[in-house]
Amino acid sequence: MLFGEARWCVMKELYKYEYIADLVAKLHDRVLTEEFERYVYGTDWSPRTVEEIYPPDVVVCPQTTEDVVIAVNIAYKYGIPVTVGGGLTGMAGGAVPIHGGIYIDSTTMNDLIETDITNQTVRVQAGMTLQEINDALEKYDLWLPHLTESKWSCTIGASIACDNDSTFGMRYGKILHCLLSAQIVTGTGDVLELGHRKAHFTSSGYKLKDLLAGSEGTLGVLTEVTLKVEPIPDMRVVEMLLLPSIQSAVDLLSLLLKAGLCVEAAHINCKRRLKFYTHAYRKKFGKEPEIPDWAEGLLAITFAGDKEVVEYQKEYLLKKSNMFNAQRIEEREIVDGWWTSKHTLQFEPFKQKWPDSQREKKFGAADPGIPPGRLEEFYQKFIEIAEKYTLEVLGMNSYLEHPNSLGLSLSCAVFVDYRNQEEVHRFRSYFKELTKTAVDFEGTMSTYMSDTNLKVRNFEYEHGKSAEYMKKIKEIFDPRGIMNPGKKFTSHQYSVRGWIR
Amino acid sequence: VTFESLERYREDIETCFGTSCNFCERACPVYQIQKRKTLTARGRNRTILGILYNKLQPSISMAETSYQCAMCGACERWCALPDTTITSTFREYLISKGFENDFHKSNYENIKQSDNPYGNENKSAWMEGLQTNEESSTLYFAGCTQSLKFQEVLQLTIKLLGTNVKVMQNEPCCGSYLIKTGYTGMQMQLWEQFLDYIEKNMINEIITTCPGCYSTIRDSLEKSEFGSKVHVIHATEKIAERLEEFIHKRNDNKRLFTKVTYHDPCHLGRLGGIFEAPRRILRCLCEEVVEMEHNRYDALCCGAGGGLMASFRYLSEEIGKKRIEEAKKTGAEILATACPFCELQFKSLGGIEVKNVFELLYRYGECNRGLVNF
Repeated sequence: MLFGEARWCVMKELYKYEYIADLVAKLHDRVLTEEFERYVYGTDWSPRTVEEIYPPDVVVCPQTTEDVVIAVNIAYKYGIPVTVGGGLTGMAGGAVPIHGGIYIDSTTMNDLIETDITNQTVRVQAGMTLQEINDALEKYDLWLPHLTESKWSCTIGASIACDNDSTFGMRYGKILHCLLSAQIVTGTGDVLELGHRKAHFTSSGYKLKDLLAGSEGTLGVLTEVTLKVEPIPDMRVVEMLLLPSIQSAVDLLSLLLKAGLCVEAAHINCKRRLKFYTHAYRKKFGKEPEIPDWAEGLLAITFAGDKEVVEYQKEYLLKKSNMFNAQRIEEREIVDGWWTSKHTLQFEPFKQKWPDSQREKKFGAADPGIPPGRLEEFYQKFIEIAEKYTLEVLGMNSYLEHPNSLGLSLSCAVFVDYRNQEEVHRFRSYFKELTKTAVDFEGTMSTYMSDTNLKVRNFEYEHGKSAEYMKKIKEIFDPRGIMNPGKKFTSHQYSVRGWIR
Repeated sequence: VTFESLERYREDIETCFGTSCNFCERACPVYQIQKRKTLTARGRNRTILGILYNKLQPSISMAETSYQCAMCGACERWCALPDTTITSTFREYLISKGFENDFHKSNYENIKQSDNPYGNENKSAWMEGLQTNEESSTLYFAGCTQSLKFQEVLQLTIKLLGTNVKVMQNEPCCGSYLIKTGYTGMQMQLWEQFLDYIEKNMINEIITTCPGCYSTIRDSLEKSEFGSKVHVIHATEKIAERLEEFIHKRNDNKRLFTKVTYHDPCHLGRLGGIFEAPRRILRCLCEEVVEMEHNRYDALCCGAGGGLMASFRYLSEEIGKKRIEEAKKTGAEILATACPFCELQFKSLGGIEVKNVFELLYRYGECNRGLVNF
């Protein structure tokens, strides 16, 4: 009898072709087996070298929930890992099939199922991108305000699976604030509808739907979702203020909320971070935007709605900002450039900031969450840890992600040389240490990337004994441990090969 | 052609990997139909990365996948990398490894034999009876598709331009097809002959009607010693410049066409930068020129370019149908374009009346004698 790695190697070779043959027999041309086809699905947006591309053994491109059931049933029968991906714009490898097996490309499930104008809901397949949903809704004067910078590629399924941030989180919150119901295919091939249909909330039963946010496909495959959508506001103003400290931006926002203002989007940047958003400005003027030495924090803020209300809120903001020695950025090129990067994406043709800004090094970020009163303190810690690992600091952005309150989701970014394995390793050490530090700050390791395999070692550090309960929950949905193994928890049945490969 | 041809783009390919922004997906007409990540610029760049890092070996299916691209430049509109050039270099590399597409190989042979991809020996037939000025330093470059599929448009375009142009009796293929399908070696041979002709005949201006010829000749000349000496111009620009000469007196009652929408050909619009000249002409001829949802830099591709129509007809048609649907949504009677490839594609798909800008101008002239100066 063979054990450990040797056993897995033999089993894999024995089973590989049979299960792939089964998939092809049942799903025909919706299965991709060529090596070069699979290679593209072996990586996402996270900093890594070429040596760390992990192609799956086979790619399934389903069109329906039934197709997914077929794929999961085959995976269950043979004990094959299943990783589900969308636009592959994840920033920490959540959808990278680190143990090979079946990759389910959800982007081929991108149909709009129902638009309910009266109740302002939409039912879609999970592979629709955030932009595709909004393109479909525009004619009804509705929108899904859960929008990321990667909205052109990021699917709604992926948004739920990694519980990502939204540009407009301060008014509309995170994904659970718009997710009413979701259909999943569990690790046993069962099809479940989790949620409360078109009702906005429920006090009936356990809130299993909420488990899906940040579940990373470890419980099942999201196939359809029902979302609450909103009327498109008539107009929007975008303003940027310079402040003497990052913390004073938090204090100003706190005052605005107390006064009753409805802030649509708020982002607190450190001074360094602004440079990442001013690529178009530099291209146009051949210089950096001028930011005074005293300014340490930048508050970018938007209000949206009827003109009269919006104008009032803007004036109120400018009036109150004096109390914090804030200075409005008058140069619209800076403000508009930031908003272009953040939301409109209407870059000048052929002069997109991507990928020119990433030629030598790329953006790499950790995503801790901390209490709002400790932002300045944590910022200093971020710089300290980045410098400890000799990484060039790109800067910090705090996304405000809780409706009408100061819920901070941090993007602590550094530049990473993705051609240099040693630097990529240093980035991962930085990532682990900074996210663990956030727990020490009475916060959390993750606010928009979820855990992936990078936070596995600190999982119990954050969750303590409740991590055991989480494992038991996963076992109910996925008794064979085939759903995105290695994410959140170490996967013992697949790690015997010494993978990550 | 060897590995080195791909090596030239190593930094770009690695940058695409490092960025992985995916902006090319939303714009790519092929991806939006097929939804296979190998088919986007990022997907092809990732495949090339695999080759450069010795993780992947070229194969026939890899070559087939590389040909599922209309080379429309929609990816480049959202990217700072030369994605279409990288794609044609990739195709060139795959051919050098023995992985050719039968359709393109056959068309390549046709160009070698007959100076056009159709293998038709009568490319110059349209010139019969044509009055030109052989002393002119302005060359009218007709192009293969225009010469063989739309001869009447050529004749009337020459009339519109006046006779102060010369034509090449044995006009070579501009090489656009060769560049896009990876047969660049052959294109270079053709190009040397063409440069020789330009020099001997002291050509300082070249007018084309085909956007493929326009962008190929313009881009190739820019890289040559003639870059600053020879001006390449599309016929719509020339006509738009002299619109007042053609149309003496605008008479609104005599406008022939009511509602027209204009399709920007990729190689004239997005990749050529010419958007307004055809629209200016149309506004003189039509009561209303309406825009499709995607226009100018963001115009949807017709699906015919890059060799797609020749080798993946179904895919090409599906792309074209999307554009026709968009045109129909505008309520326009006529879908106008300024490219023979787009015209062929749309006419074969049907669903809306399709006209070339030059043909509309000519028909306008015939119905408004005295107002138009031919």
